[in-house]
Amino acid sequence: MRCESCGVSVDPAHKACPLCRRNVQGKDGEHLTSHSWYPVYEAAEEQPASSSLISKWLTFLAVSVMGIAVLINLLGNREAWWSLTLIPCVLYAWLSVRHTLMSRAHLGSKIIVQLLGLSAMLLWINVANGTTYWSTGYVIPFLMMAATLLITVICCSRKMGWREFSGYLLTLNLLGIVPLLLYAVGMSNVLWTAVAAAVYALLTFGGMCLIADKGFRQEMKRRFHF
Amino acid sequence: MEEWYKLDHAGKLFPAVAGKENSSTYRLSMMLTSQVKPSVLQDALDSVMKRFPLLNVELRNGLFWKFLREKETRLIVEPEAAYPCSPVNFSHESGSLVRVLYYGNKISVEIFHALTDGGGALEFLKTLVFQYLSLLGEDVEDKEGLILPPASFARYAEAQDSFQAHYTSTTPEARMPDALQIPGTRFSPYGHNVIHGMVHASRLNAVAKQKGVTLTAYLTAIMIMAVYETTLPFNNENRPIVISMPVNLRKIFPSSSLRNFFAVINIGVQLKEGMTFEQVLEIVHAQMKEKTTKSYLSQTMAGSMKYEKNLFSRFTPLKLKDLAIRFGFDHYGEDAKTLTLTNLGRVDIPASMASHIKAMETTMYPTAKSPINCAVSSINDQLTITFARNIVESDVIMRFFRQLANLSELDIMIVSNDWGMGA
Repeated sequence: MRCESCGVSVDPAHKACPLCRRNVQGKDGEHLTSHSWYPVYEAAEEQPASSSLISKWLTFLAVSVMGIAVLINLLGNREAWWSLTLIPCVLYAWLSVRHTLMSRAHLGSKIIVQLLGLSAMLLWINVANGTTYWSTGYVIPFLMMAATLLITVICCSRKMGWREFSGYLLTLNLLGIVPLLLYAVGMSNVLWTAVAAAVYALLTFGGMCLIADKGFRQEMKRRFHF
Repeated sequence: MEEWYKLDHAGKLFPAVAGKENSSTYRLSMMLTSQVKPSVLQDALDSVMKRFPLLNVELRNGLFWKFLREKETRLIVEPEAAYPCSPVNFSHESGSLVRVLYYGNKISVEIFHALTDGGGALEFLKTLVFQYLSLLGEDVEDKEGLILPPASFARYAEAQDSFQAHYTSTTPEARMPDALQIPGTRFSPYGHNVIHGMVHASRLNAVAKQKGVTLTAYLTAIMIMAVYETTLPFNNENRPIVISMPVNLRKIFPSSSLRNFFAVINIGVQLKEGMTFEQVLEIVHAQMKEKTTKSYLSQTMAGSMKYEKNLFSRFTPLKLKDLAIRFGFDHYGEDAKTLTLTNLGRVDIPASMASHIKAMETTMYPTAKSPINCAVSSINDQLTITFARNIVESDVIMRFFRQLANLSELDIMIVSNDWGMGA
């Protein structure tokens, strides 16, 4: 087939010239052959994924709840700032649904995000209510240890667990020293829990180095190369 | 023990900038003379992968850099179903950074650019097709030594990051001004429309020689004229038309690396009214001559590697580094070019294999700011010029082929995947 407008030959699989879109086959397209270069693509309509729509609704809902709460609080009893306690709870709920339930993120990443989200929510509530540092003193260090234990159990019980989760376990080992840092800057009043979290992280790290196979040491090299 | 590889210098860029509108995945295909048998192709792939372990890898995150880790699962051949150069899946469960596809008589490989460049991919495709033909019982022999020997993988030489080996600290070139960019309407649903133009290679080469220039310079000049004529109504700022061109550094610096080893040079012309094709050709030829010298390419390498060598950037966490790379790519790389033209050159294959190959094509993925890209390769004296675009408008491509047909007086056969054309 020839396209006279473009001065080129056109593969007989085409009804129209791919360059100028003028018909090259005539009305009946009798010389049309099947395409030898490409398959016929399935017709696909570009639609926003339903998960993205749900996510937008969730965000809208969370922002609305927080906004209305602040408004009611402002117009009503201003002596008790209950909305400041509600906001972190809504944010944590949003994070849990959006990341932990809806996303396809790795299980290790979900555990770490849950740990960080829960810790941030509790710290916020703690600070907003102006009481002693119960969150950084007790809850957060134990949460760190629980998350580390959970990933250690997954590493030991799952096939290929060390390969898949060692990066997350290393991250948790680093996070394990955070309670000690919080104590050092005066954001925690309880030393023994901070030391316990750091020691637990160190023990886990030492255990990983001793017990885990060569693969783990190799994994360390990969993860930290610069 | 499972192997892992650091990303090479060029490979560090692609994972940070890849996305739906920049798949960073290119394609090389060979059209055979007979229908592809998937089971034989799978057997060929299984044996060839031992020779190319660098391609059966997954991309993982480190604290400072991403890295490649050998995959436990084998690579499986797939029937071609999606548009060319569609994004690869980074998920380690099912995703692969390499796809081996078949359709009718055609075998294609699609490779994420972080693994290797066109040079490495070509070695892989040649070896795969050679092995496929051999398993099919065809009488193919590599007397000329054009296929990688089936000996074990030469880990040191072939996995080497040749950028590091040939790095010299020199003063890099100053930042280029913003280039003209081709506007257009994105396909919906998103995809890549591909148009191939096939022409007699040695005759076209002779036409270029007659003008006293290389084939790449000749095609680049036609491209610049085509872009100029198309964009004339809205290029009010008279921005330069810049054609970005990857240069295979293996031909200049000694290297047998199968990983990325290329530099990008920009050929730019600020057209004035009344400029002729011959004048543009002269400028392009002179620039290409100047920018493909060893010293210029060393300077280009030094410019792109200076951030990687910097101690501060090396110890910056990966997520921050990705943000910085994306910013640099958008503002220094993409803004400085109009489109990319890559010429893989003449592909030499053993004579016994040649009779089984009808044609070859290379497809270079388009990006958000470079919505039309062009790739050229030739085999068996047939040259294929491939345009891939993510916009509806095809004026630049139409003008290019019309001018090429007009100037060379050669017959050009046009084939397309017709993506977004409703037919």
